[in-house]
Amino acid sequence: MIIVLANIGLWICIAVLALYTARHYFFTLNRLFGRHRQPYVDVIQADWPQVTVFVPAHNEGRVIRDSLDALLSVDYPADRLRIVPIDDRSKDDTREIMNEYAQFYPERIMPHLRDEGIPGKAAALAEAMEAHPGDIYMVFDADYIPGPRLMKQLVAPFFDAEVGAVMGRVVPLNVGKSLLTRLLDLERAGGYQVDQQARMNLRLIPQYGGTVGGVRRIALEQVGGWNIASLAEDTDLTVRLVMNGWDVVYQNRSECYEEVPETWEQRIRQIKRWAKGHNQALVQYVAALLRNRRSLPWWQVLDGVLLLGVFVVPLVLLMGWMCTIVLFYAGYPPNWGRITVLAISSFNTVGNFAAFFQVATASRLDGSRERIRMLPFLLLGFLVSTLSVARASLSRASWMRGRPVEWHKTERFRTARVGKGPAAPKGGG
Amino acid sequence: MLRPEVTFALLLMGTIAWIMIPFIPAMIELLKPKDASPLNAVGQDSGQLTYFATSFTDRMTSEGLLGTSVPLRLSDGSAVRVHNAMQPLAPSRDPITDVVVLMDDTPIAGGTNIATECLARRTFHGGPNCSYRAVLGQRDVQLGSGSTVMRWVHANGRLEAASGTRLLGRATSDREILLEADVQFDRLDAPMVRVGGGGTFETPIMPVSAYTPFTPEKAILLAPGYWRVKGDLVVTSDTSLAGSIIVIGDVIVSECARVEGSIKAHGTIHVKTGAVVMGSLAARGRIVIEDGARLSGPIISESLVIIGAAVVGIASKRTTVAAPRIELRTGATIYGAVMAADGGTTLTSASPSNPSTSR
Repeated sequence: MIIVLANIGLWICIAVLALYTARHYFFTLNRLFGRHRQPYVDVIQADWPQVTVFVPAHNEGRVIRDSLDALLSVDYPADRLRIVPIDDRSKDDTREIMNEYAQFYPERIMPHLRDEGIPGKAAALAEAMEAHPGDIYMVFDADYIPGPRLMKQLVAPFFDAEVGAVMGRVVPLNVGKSLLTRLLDLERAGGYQVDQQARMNLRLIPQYGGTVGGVRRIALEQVGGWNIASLAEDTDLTVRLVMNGWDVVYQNRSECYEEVPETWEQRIRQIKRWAKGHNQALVQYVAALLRNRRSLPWWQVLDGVLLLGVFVVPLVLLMGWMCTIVLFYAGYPPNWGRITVLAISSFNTVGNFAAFFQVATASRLDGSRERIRMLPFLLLGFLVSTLSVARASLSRASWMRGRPVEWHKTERFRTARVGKGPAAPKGGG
Repeated sequence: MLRPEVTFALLLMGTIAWIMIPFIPAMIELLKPKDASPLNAVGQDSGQLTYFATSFTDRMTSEGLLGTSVPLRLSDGSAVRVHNAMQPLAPSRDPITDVVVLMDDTPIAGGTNIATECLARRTFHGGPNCSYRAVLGQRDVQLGSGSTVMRWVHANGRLEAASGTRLLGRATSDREILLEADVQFDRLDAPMVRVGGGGTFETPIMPVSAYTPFTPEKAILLAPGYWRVKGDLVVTSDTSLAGSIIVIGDVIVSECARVEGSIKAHGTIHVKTGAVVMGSLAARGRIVIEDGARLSGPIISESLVIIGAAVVGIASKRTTVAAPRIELRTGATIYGAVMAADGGTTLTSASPSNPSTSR
């Protein structure tokens, strides 16, 4: 009985892994040889709409000045850009900094200060958006530093009436700090330069990542607003927008710097949070997505299911390993010896390298010649992520809905200002 | 003959050594980083077509090429050639590799090939079949028929391109770009871009009350004034659609109809004579704008845009036409930018009222 179950389990695991392997290769080959689809990036002149930029923050005193300076310096009509930093119960000087900027730029910066209500980014955004109505909402995390051209690039897709959300590219700023930051730089490159852009090219489902992007108010309201019960409000919103017929657009040229975790402890905490949030969305929407297959093209449904299930893969991988061990020690002889050997050989020569191939391709497309040498170290990141995500996927929070009771955020390490805005208020150094 | 334990140990060590080979360059890069700075990704030139012209102007200013006495060599050692009516640029088949400064408006001889930047301090008169790498005109720039600009051209005044000109890269003007027929281009940006010398008839925009209200049938209301339609849509003549619409099919905005908001089509969009669209147009297929139509917002197609003698944008509110391929017919007027990723062209033919059905 155990042998039969382990055998069935193994083949299910192999099928799932093979599907994700094929996906990696398909996306990567598309980026290498497919047409780069970026229909909105050339919109450089327009009657730019009113935009409200939200910067949710909780204990972000170390970084928020850089973010506000950068937002004040973007190339966008000042009278059409309202910046709303949201402070949610910070215990450091985040609130003082926001008030200081608001004093200097009363027409442009309007802080939204929270001392009560449900904590968390989604709840903070929901409340602030209600207080600051507009047509286009942009969201930047407090450690993000937008370039001067970014805002127009991110707003341009909204001239397409079907676009519900836009996502830009995240580029690590603190790359050279540690082995981890170098690995995260490679992972981010693979995730955005290849994965997200391939989805954009293929009209699949680029993911709105909750920062460096924006959402159309009408679309947000039509799908029911922010889900404050979700740990991954961005994935949650992406799926609901797509199921309701809105497009989610990825703009590869709209890059924005971020600070990635510098310690493994932070990284593990971050990825476990992502896994739990993603798995929550999987439970909540996979059935609805499959039911929606008549109104969505089948390839979007498939991509949506695979996107939602991406954090279950490490668990599947570990289950596959366990099944293999059980079968080995149970003395289970493979029925088809040559086919098994061929399958194992094929997987070891092709399957195992799918993710590496994707990252290497991203480095090449970025024109990075030397950082690709770090690729073998990704094995370390892969093992840590696999174990962390698998552990998170086994937790109750991964599969049960419940409102967050605290802010989930990544610790900041920045010790010096990245650059001063042209008119940064006094004390901004 | 080795003992099995030794054989195993050797095999194991060999395997580990083999696996470790890729870690050698990885370790070197980790310990002595050569490529650990943040990706230089946030481009400064994107979205600003005049970036190279501005940079060149700044450089020429700092090098003194805009002063009364022009140096014959730049700080990086590049030679500078100065020409005027007394010392005109002599006709030559060989490419000119020095920076060229034209002090007056003496015409350039036909067939001249300037393979580096050219600064014209007065009106630039290019002869026929000339080739330039980059041209910066302090006043007007007139490119002769059959000429080619390889990288960029900018005129502080008006930019005129005669028939057969190829504007590869960026062509910009602070005032106006005037294109004759059969001009190829990539990216244009100016307060006004016109095709043909004649004026364009600007259809008067009537008040909304002058139209019969149009309500799309079988449409899903997403929000007040925001619909989605499955199938094709025809906005009938002399009616007004008060809002924006997403159409999972083709769209026709009939003669003298008006759309207050924006249109998105999964198929094609055809805006007929005298129609007015106040918002933007976006389509996966081609977008055809007939003579006499008026559009205010950006036009975005993932295939082809054809614009007849219509007006796109408003003088006080510039806009963008963006598509892989763009055809501008005689009489087309665009206030703003025209961005053809795979190339655009100007044509003399009549109104594009009967485009082929291919997308």
